[in-house]
Amino acid sequence: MGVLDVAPGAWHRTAAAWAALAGELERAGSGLAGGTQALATAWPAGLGTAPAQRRVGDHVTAVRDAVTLVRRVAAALSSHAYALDTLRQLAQQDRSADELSSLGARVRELEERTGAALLANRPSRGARRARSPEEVAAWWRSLGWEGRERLLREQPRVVGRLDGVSADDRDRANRTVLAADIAALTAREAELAARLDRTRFGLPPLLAALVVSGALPLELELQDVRSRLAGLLAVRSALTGQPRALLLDIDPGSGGGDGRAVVALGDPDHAQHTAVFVPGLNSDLRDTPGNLSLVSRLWREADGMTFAGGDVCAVLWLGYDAPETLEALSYGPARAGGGELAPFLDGLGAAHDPTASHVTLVGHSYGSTVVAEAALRGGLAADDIVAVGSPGMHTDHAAALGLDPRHVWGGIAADDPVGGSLGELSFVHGEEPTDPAFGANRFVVDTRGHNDYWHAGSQSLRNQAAIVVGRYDLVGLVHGGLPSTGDSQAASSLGR
Amino acid sequence: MPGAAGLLGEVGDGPAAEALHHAGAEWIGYLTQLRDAVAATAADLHGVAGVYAGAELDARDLVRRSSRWAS
Repeated sequence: MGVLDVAPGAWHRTAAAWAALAGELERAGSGLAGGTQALATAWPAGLGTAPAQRRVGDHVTAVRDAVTLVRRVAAALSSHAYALDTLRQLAQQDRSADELSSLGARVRELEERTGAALLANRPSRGARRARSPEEVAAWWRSLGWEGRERLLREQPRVVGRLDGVSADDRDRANRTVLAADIAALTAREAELAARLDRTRFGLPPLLAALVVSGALPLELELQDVRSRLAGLLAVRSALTGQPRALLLDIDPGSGGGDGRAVVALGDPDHAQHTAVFVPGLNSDLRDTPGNLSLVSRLWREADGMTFAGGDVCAVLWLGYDAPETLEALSYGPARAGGGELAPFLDGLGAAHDPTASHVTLVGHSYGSTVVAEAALRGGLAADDIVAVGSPGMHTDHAAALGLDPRHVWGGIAADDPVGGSLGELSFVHGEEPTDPAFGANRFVVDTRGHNDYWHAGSQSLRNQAAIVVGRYDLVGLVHGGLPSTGDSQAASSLGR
Repeated sequence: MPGAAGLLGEVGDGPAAEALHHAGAEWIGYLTQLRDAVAATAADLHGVAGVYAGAELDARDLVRRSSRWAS
C-alpha cells in the first residue's frame, strides 16, 4: 500500500469503537463490583457465600482486566490513526520519489509496530490458557528429548512462559528470547537514533521534537526502546551471579506494560522449600539486580538453616505490572497480578518432582496485595504467606486467605511509613496483617524503613528464612501462635 | 456482545489490519464467553434468592446488576 492510499479515518472510527467498548466494560465492572457487596449482605452465613463471592469476584476481575487491555488496544489504534494522518499529510506535499519511498517505509514500520501492540493485548494469558499446568507438565514429559528440543528451538517464546514446563527448559527458552529481544531493540535504537540525527538539523533533541515535523514520534519511540532495552540488560546482568539463576519468564514490556521477569535461584523443580518473592510499588525490569540481591540474601539465610544445603529455591516473581504512585490505591494491578501468580504456583507444583515442595509466598508492600488476591481466588498452591510492609490484604482477617491463620505472617518496621503515617491506607486495602485483629502471626522486625527487611544478619531476615524452611520454632513473634514445625512437611506431603 | 459494532473496522489490508482482525476476533469470542459466564452466575444466584427468601431483596439487586451486563 502506498503512503497516499492510507485511510486514517477508518482507523480513527475503529479506535473510537474500542474506546467505547472499554467504557461499557468499565461500567459493567462497576455494576458487578456493587453486586459483590450486595451478596455479602444478602447471604452472610450461607454455606455457599465464599464460593459465590469468589465466582462473582472472578467475573469482576476478568472484566477489569479486560478494561485495561481494551484501553491499550484503543490507544494503539488511535496512535496508529494519528500517525497515518501525519504521514499522509507529509506525502501530499510536493515530494520526490525518494521521499515518498521513505514515507512508505515508515508506513510499513508503523503497521508492524501497531500489529505487535494489538497482538500483545489480546485477552489475558490466564483466560486464554487452554491447558492446566498439570496437563502441560504431563504433555512436556511425554514429548521425549527430540520433541522438546524442536519446540525449544522453534517456539522459545511459547515454551518459556508455559507454566508446567520444567525450569531448566523454560530457562533455555527464555535466554534465547532475551538475547533475541536485546539484539532487536539494540538494532532499533541505532536505527531510530540515526534517523533522528538526520531529522534534527543539528537542533537539541527536545527542541527538535517540538519544532521539526515527524521528530516527536521518533523521539518518543526512541525513549521507549531505550527504556525497554535498559530493563532487559538489567535482567541479563542479574543472571550472572551465584547461585545459578534460572529465567522462568521474560517480556520486555511491549504493548504498554512495564514488562515481566521471573528469576529463580536454586532448583525449583527439586527444592524441598521454595520462596516466591513478589515486589511492590514502582518495580520494573530495571530493578531486577536489586530485587534479586535481596532474594539471594533470603535464599542464603534459608538454605543455611537446612541440614543438607541446596534444598531451597527462592524466586523473584515480577509477573505483573507493578503500580506507580497513586495507582497503588487501586485494586486493579493486584487483581491482575494475582490472576497470573496463582497459575504460576500451580506450574511450579506440576513441574516439581513427585514429592511436593513447601512453598512460601513473600509479598512486599503492594506485592502483598498481589499475594492476597492470588489467595482470595481459593486453592492457592502455597503453605505459608509472609506479608512485609503491607498496606493491607483486601480482607480484614487472615482466615479468608484460605490457610490456617498460623501460617499467615506479617512484619513491619516501627518506622515504616506504610504502617505509620500512611497506615490510613487500610481503609483502601483492608486491615494491616500486623494488626492483632487480622489474626495472623506478627514476627519481630529489627530493621528500619520500608525497604530493608532483608538486611544481612538481621532478625527480620532470619525470621522470614525460618518460615521459608518450616522452622517455625526459630521465628520470634510479637503476637500470634506458632504452628508446629512438622506442619510444613505434612502440608507438602499431602499436596496441600 | 456489548459494543461489538465497528471493532473490526473497514481498515483494509496490511500487518496492522491483519492483527486487528486476529485480536478482535479473539476478543469478541472471549467477551462473549465472559458474558455467558456472568449470565450463568446471575441465574444461579437468582435460584439462591428464592431459597433465602429473607434476603431476597438484596440478592435480587445483585441479579439485576449482573443481568444488566448479561443481557
